[in-house]
Amino acid sequence: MAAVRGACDGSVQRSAVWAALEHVEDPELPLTITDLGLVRRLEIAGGRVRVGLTYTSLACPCNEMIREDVEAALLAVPGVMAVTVDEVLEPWSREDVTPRGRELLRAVAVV
Amino acid sequence: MGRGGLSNEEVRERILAGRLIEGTQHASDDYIKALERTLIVSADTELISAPSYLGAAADAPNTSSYMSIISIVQDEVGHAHIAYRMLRDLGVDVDELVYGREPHEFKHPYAFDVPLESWAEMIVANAFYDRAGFVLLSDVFEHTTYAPWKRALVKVDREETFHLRHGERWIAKLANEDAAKRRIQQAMDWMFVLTLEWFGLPDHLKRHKDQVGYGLKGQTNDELRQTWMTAVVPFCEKHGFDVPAHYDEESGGYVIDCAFPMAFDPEAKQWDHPRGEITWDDVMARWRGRGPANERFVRQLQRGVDQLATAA
Repeated sequence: MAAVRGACDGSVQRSAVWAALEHVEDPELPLTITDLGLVRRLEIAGGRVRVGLTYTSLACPCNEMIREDVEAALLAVPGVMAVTVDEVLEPWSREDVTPRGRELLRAVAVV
Repeated sequence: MGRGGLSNEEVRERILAGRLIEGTQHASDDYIKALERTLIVSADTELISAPSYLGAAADAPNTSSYMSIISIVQDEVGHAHIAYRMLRDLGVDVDELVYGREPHEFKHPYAFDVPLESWAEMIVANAFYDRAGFVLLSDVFEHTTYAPWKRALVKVDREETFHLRHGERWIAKLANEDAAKRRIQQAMDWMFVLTLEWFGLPDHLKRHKDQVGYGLKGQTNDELRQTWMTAVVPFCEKHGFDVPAHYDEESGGYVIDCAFPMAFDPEAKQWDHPRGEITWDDVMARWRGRGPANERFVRQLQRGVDQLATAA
């Protein structure tokens, strides 16, 4: 199901969408979902954005929370009219964390 | 001869010099006693929240939220493990503590002895009880002079944030549905005052002052109660719920709008508003008697050890 918002002029910058995703924090760890390596797909067609997310575990307790945060963050980007979040269920490992993310995780003694 | 390597005077000097306590060699017997008392309350509270939340997981409205509660239960057991581990390091027999005590000897707040019996009560517990835990542990994290606890709390803090956010998110979501909203309001009606009690005796009646004196916590009971209301009351008001407290411009703090403390019927989950204010001695008598689910929750935690002992 897509989260939908008002009208749109069809011009959505990929960089603006990515920047919005870079502000979505993981609910349990002090880093963003992009640093954690959860964002696997990003398609933009007109004002419609489709994001493919994986999670750190199949039984991720926060998947609804993350999905809602992504929808809210992207609907705040000018021009975005509808957001669909797909669970892609690809494997996730610590190799997927960015160097900056790894620094942050070290600070809270997770890795 | 005690376990502490220092005198009370030396401990105070060390704390005043801004140095943390790493272990018994830096502590006095009285410091260790106060620390143990504080850690046992914290450990028991985390542990008993597990059977309490686990029971309410059965009321989850979908598999995703069921997963969230199961994960929260796992977090809580982890937090309990941290506190018991520190007690073990201090020389306490933790197996005896968890498996040898009678249910009424556990030190968790009375609120957890009242079972959660619906999804509405579960999410209000996340928003109220986990917020209380967060307020208490954030204070410990910020102020504790016991270094091992300070280090351990970095991750705990973050996980508690997820728990209370889980509750707040569900409350916000269901606040738009009449029937669900009524059930949440009913849960808040008994759980709000029960959480106010959680922070303990008002400052002017408090007997143990060692916790603040030794820098095991920073805020007093009344200050912690204020911190909790500062987060919870505006949240409830924002989503159209009534709770018996309001912000008072003049004093710059929150004022409780009902009799407090009050008599409570834990079976009916109702406060005795007509009777009005009772004494804290009355409250302590209720706490000592423990609540309806105390025996069940503690025996549930102890059952595995009992079964193995019987089988042997």
